[in-house]
Order: sequence, then structure tokens, then C-alpha cells
Amino acid sequence: MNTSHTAERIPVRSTRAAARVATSVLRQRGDTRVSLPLRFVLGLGLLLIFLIMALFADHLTPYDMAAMNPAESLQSPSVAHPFGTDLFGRDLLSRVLYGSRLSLAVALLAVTVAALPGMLLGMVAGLYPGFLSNGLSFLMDAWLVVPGLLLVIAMAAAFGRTTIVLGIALGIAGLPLYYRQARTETLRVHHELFIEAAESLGATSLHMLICHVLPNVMPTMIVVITARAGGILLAVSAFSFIGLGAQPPEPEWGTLLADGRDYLQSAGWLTFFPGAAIALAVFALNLIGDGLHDLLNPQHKRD
Amino acid sequence: MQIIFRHVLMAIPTLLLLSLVVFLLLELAPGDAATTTLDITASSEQSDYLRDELGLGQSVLARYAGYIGGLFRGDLGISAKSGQPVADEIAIRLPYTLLLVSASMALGTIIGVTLGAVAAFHVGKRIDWLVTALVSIATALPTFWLAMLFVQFFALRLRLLPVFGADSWQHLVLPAFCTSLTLVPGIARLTRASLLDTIKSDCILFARAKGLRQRRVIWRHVSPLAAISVVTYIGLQSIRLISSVAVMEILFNWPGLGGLAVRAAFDRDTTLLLGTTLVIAALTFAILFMVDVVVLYLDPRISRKAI
Repeated sequence: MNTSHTAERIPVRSTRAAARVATSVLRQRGDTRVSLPLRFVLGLGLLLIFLIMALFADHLTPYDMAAMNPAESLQSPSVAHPFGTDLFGRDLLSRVLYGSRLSLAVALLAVTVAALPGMLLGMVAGLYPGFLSNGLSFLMDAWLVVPGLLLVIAMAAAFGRTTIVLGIALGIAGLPLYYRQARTETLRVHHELFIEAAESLGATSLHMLICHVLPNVMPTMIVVITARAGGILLAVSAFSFIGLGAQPPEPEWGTLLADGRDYLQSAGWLTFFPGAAIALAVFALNLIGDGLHDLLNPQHKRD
Repeated sequence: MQIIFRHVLMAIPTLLLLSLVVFLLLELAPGDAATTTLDITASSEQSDYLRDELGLGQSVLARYAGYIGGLFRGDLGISAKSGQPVADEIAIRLPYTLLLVSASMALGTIIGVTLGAVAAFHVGKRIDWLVTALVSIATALPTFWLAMLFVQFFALRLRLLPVFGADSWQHLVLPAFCTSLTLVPGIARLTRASLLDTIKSDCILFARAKGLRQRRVIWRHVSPLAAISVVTYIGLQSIRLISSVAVMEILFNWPGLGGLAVRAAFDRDTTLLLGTTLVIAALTFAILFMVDVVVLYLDPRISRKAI
């Protein structure tokens, strides 16, 4: 993709910087004009650890995460069970490791389910302003002020309380954000010379969308997605915690916390470790989001 | 007048649309309230009777039209699970949610603004660094996890506060504080940024040039301007706060609307779900409206006649 090539022609400063920096970030080398901030690297490293945990949970867990062992019920953290055990004697470390798989997968589902259609709709609405696109924007604005909780509840009631329904509901709840961002960015480049040039050369709508608009929308979309990822992960575990997502035997981090709620006094480790896992993963995602944001808007760098 | 008009113009179609979406979602799904309310052993006559009673036999559109018609008369229907009018169930719980929402918004604003202001007035010093670090850590913490840790420490270990329920003002302390933590990091971050921005702006330079004292410049000129963006932000965050309130209500056995709505989802109680959904959405709109009014009063650049 000739991102940097296209980007050079855009006079809007932030977009050009965005395109340039995002390509350099994606390539991870080359453009030495921008040094990667420490927190970005730190966040990426942390996230990598979680990804490894999620991908290789089968090989990393010392015990079978579902194996019950009544003899070792509610044991506090020890060398054999670093995170302790739950009521059924299941090893909490193994369950937290498996939990990373489920939690991250649902968060990923929530992002992909919404980011792609939101971005496409936004780009089309930006390219073809008119009655339809205005109506769509009105709908999206209305959707934005409806709390996500309501959609999650309604979808859970209609289609069942499962992780997949939760992921899709959270995605749809966030759709307007991607839509608005993509539309704003598209409107920004809409009147640029290179769009006009492509039009006069007889470029098809699809060609225009993919080769000329998409490269300009992508960088900010990446920022929006990373900025939202942490919040989505928090929402996934919060809704699982109140029973609207993963169900008890499933080791989702929020569900593990809900399990621990009844043992706050006797077995505090049941709440501590899953919560710490959520916090660390969200922290990693936020670091990446902040780092990317700073990279893309050098003039707004936080002091 | 304009602003009221604009808000109502936005709120009514949105609420109608939301009710239609929720209604159709529940229609699309297999099974209905008759199957979930009754025991598995119930005979088909029994479930047919209940269906008749709940009006499930009519067409979708007829039922939706009937529901909306009732809405304008203040009739939210009968809960399929409890047999009580939905409006009554909501009326019992609404004050608790209002209390929790307003207490946590007030607490979050006070704590967040204080932290942000302290950081901004000591910019570059150690305390600024500390606040910034705290804020970025707090953004990542799941508030319901913190809530459980607080319960463990303040209620179970120190026995300073009651654990769950809503019988006295002490019961409000932990839920309100924990819910407010959803707002604190964002407000603190924004207060700091907008104070620093405002101090640099031309109108503040002018106030200084007039020879006003530092204290007066800050209170009379910097604060209201910086408050505009903070208040706007609080309004937007209240949408997210509503979800957080529901989680806290369930965690603390706080008898509010969020818990009721989630229970309605568990029971697939359509009327209760629709009623709670609409009231919660209306509550969000009311907060957004109030925030807009406050911003109008704060911002001298907007004519007050616009209200």
C-alpha cells in the first residue's frame, strides 16, 4: 500500500503526520525521525505476554483448568498453586491463564465486529454526502447517547447470555464512534486534489474508496481502535461479572471475579488475581493507545 | 427555549427507536415470557392462558402500537414475572438509582477536579507527576474489582462500613465512591489539561495585563472557562457511568434500576425490560440536558437568550 506516497500530497498537517507515523509504526523500522515512546514499547511487551498466555494456555497451565479436586478446596496461594484454589479445588492460575484467552477473544470480537462496518459506512457517508448519509449520521448520533448497558441487556435477553452475544452487543454499541471518525476523516480529504484527479481519470467508486480514502482513514482508525480496546476489555469483564456474558464454569476474568465475590472474607485471593490480570491487560492496551496517540499527534504530546 | 426544544426533538425519536429495537430484538428471539415464567411441567393450556393474559397472541405491530399507546398514558404494562405494574416497580427503585448517580457524579467531580487542579497549579513538580501517574494507573483498574477490594478492607476487615444493602446513609458511601472512580481519572486528566490550556489563552493574558491579582484571575477568569470542557466531558461520561452504576448496584445489592433491568434480562420479562430500558435512557438524556444548560450558563460567549 502506497500510504506514504499518497500522504505526501495532503496539506492537512495532522493527517500527513498520522499517515507517516502510522506507516513507520506498522513497519517497525525505517523512519527514524520519530522515536517510539517508552510506554508504547512497554505496553506492546505486556500485551505480548498476555497474547502468549492466551495462545499457549494449554501448554502453560500446570493443571487442568476444569479439574476439580475437593481435597484442595479454597487453598491459599502456595508454591503448588501460586494463585490458590477455588471452592472446587481448581487451580486459579490455570483458570486465569485460560481466562486471558476468553477475555481477549471477546474484546477482539467486539472491536472487529464494529470497526469494519463502522469504518466502511463512515467512508461511504463521507464520500457521498446527501439525504441518506445525513439520516445515517443522525441515527449514529442518537445511538451514541444510548448507554451500552441497554443494548447488552436487550441482546442478552433475546439471544442468550453468552460471550459471543456480549462481544457483538458491545461492538454494535461502539459502532457510531468508528463511523464518526471515518466520516470526519473522509470529509477532510474529500476535496483534495488527488481525489479530484482520480475522479477525472475515471476511477471507480470502489477504487477511490480502497486506494485513496482508506489509506487516509486507516491511521486515525488505528488510534481510535487502540484507544477503545482497554475500555472494551473492562466492559467485557464487567458484564460477565454481572452474568450477562461468560457463564460460571467458563474461566472469563469477570466470571472468576463473580465466583470470588462470595469468598471475600475467607478467600480474598479468588478476587485479587483475576482482577489484577484485567488491570494489567487494560493497562497494556492503554499504554499502547496513549503511545500511538502521542506518536500521531506530536504537537499534543502530554507533558 | 431553543435548547429544551432541541433536546426533546432528539430524545423522543431516540427513545421511540430504542423501544422499537428492543421490542423487535425480543420478538426475533425464540421463546417468550410465557415459556420462561412457567415451569417446564406446565401444560399447554396453562401457557396458552398466560399468553392470552399477556397479549402475546396479537401481531407484533399491534402489540408495539398498544405498548406505545400505553406509554403516553403513563402505563408501562404488567411485569410478566412478578405480576406487578412495571411503573410501580420502577417507581420504587428509581430514587435509589437517582441517589447513587447524583452522589457518584458529585463525588467524582469533586475528587477529579481537585486532583486535576492540584496537578495543573504545580505543573512539572513532583506532585504533578504523582497525580498523572495515579490517573493513568486508575484508568486501567476495573472499578468493580476495586469495589470488592474496598469491601474486603473497609467493611469486612475494619468493619467501618456496612457491606451490602441500602438501609442507611453509610450504605451509600462505598457504592457512591466506587462508582465515582469511573469518572475520576478522566475528569482529573481533563481538568489539568484545560486549566493549562486556559492559562495560556489570550483572555487570561488580558486579565493579567489589566493588573488583576493572581487569585482573582484564577477564580474569576480561568476557572469558568476551564470548567466548560470539564462539564461537557462529565455529560458525555454520564452515558458510560450509567452502565457502571448498574454493575455497582448488583455488586452492592443496591435496589436500583440497573439491577432490575439485568434481572428482567435473566427472566426475559419483556415489559419490565422495555420499561427499565426506556427509563434508564430517559435518565441519560436528562443528565445530558442538564449538562448542556450548565455549559450555557458557564460560557459567556454563548448568548443566554439561547436558553
